Amino acid sequence: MKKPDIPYNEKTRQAALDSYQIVGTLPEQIFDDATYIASQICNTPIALVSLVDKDRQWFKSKVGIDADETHRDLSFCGHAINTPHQIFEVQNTKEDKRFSDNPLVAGDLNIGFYAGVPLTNENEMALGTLCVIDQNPKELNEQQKKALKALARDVVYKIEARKRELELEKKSQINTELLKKLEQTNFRFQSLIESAPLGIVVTDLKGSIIQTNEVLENMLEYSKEEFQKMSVSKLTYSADINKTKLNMKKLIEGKVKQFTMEKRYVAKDGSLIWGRISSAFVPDSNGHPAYLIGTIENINEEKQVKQELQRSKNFLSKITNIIPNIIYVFNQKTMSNEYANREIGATLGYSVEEVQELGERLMPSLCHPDDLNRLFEHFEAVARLEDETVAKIEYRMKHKDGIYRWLLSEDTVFERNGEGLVVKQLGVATDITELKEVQEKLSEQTIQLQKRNEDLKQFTYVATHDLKSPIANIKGFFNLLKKEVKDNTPKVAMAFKHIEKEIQNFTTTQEGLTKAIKIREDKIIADEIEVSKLLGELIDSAQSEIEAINGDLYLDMEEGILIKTNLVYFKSIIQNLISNAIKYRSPERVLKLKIAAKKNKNKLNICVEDNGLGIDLELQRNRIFGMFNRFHHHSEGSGMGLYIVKSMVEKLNGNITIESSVNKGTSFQIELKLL
Amino acid sequence: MLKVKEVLLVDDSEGTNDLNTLLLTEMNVVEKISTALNGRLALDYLMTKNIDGNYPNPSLILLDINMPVMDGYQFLDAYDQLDEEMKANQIIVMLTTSISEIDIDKAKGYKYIKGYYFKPLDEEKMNQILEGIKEN
Repeated sequence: MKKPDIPYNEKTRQAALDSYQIVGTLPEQIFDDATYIASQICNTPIALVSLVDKDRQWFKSKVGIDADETHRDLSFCGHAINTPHQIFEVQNTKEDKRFSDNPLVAGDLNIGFYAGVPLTNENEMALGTLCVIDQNPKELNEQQKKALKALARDVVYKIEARKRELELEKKSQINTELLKKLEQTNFRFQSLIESAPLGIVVTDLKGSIIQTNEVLENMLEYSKEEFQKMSVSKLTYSADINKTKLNMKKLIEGKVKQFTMEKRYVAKDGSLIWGRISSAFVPDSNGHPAYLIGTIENINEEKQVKQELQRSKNFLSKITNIIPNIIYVFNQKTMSNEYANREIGATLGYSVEEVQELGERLMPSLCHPDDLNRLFEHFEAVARLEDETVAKIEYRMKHKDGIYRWLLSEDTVFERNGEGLVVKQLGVATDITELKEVQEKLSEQTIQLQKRNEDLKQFTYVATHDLKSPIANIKGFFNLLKKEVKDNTPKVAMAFKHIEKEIQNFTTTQEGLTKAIKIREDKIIADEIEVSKLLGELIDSAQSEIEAINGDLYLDMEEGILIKTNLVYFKSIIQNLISNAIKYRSPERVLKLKIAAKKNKNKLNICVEDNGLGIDLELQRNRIFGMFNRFHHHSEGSGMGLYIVKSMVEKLNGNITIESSVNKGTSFQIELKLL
Repeated sequence: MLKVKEVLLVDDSEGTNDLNTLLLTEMNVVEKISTALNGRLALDYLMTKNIDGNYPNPSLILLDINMPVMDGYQFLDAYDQLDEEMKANQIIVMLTTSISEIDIDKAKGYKYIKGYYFKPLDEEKMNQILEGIKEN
């Protein structure tokens, strides 16, 4: 028996057969139809669609036999495929040397006739055969052969068709799987977007919105559909559009991989919402930007809080920098100022930064060495303070120009540590340099004044006392002269008269002066006096004088008013005023003199009123109570009278005023404290 | 020697007036001597016509400063307001006990004041004053 030759292109042929994935599959009706028709047309009991596969032939369709396959070496089809375009006919197998001893011939199958048409695809690959087999030798006529060829073409066609179907099915399957995967991915993506805790927006490269999530929709109050009709520009506040576009451009051009910016979005109702967006691009399969995706965080509240904070800061800063004092927070641990307002520059010449730089050297380098110890004691005092109480200190600090300034610091507790100990103090410092200077000047002046006063006292003492003795001598020798000179010419008489008068004047004046000085020096002893009783007594003692001039003197006051004052002075004052009234009575009328007294709250008002000559107050008001002033033509007094009265009243802590009208009368008002 | 028609002595001290009257009388340089005890009385005198219908118009006024009722300066202020005929051809000389009484700047403000002298007046001072009258 001859084994079939292996075709020269067996590898390719086998590969082609494999590609049809038909070997080993279940029978199919279309192929069974072919073998049925083949067996009928050729009038054979057996017809096969046989595929030559490696070392076997395998029957896709069979009629008339049971076996599914036989070994290739024994097959007729193995021979047939070597002539892909020719029908292979063995009319009598037993007479063919190639096949006579073939087991299929000699054995049970007893094959007597074979005719097979190779199943050849368009690539010239003979996959197998469509063959008919009979036990009896036979011969096919031309129509049968034609028919068999046609059938074979048909089988090939069907095999091809089947392959295409399989491929399509596979493709479809792949597609379905892909689609499923895509759906899953998409779903995951959507879920990701939707469930993200930030707003998410996907746009194309021009900025048109493709997708948004619920967070964003709630934030800006647009629906998904509304968003998809919008662009990024429409959503962005006009002031931020340029920056947004710039950033997008950089992103698309690949200059940056992503950007983050804070910008304002315009919500549906027109309100502005601050958002922080981080944006990156989504690449296509070539790595070029295809979409832009951004996560948006609503920072509106954050922004508002920040703005509010800034406003507060500005307000506070304004206040502390307007206040014309230094406000500071001093840290006792670091011995430095943690905060100082701008005023520190105006007062000490250092900027706030320069002060910070000084750090703990602030006090030692600027505080006056004499005040440093007190300052540290002050810090300790502050450390012992209760909350909301204040400790003060005056001390000197050196201005940048080298000159020391006096400051008044008032400190209070600002911050305590966990154990309640004072860490920081809040203080206000006022520049009191000028005040101090004024104070110093004042005390200097006071010292000077006191010295002058002392000198003055000396002078007055000398003036009064050292003049007494010369005057006494003049008096003495004058008296002598008077006695000695018997020859009294008119001139001499006139001279004597004048000398005597002038000596008297001198003495009176000097006595007045002495008295005034004494009043100033006296220490007052106060007695309790019942006023009406005392005044009554004074009036009584003046009565004789009054009656001598036909005058009228009476008292108008209620009883029972008590005053604590110096008896001697009080008497003197009233007596002086009474004698003044008598002295300066009018020649044209009888003297009427009234003394009235009444209580006014805690004061005693005494009024001494006469109807005498009066004083021209227009001319004299400023000099009334001055020294050496006389207001009437025929004055005999030293002019000290009213001055002394005033001095005494003031020594009693009261005051005296005068009202007067020329030729009508005068009234003196005296006001004294009752107790 | 030329005699001055009238001199008005304005001083609150009678002693001073008497002394000056004595001096002027002894020097025999004045026909009439009038006195006033304070500025007010001096003004009244200058403003009152005589029996012959004329104002007194003394050629010289010796003016004290410290006087009651109206002192030297108050007198000068009022004197400024007087009619011309009451004060024609007059000179005023201030008489004072010490330089400290005089406010020189104030005195310079009054054109009638021809000078100031310290008390007591004597012949020499009086002659100087009379020279001044002559020039007037």
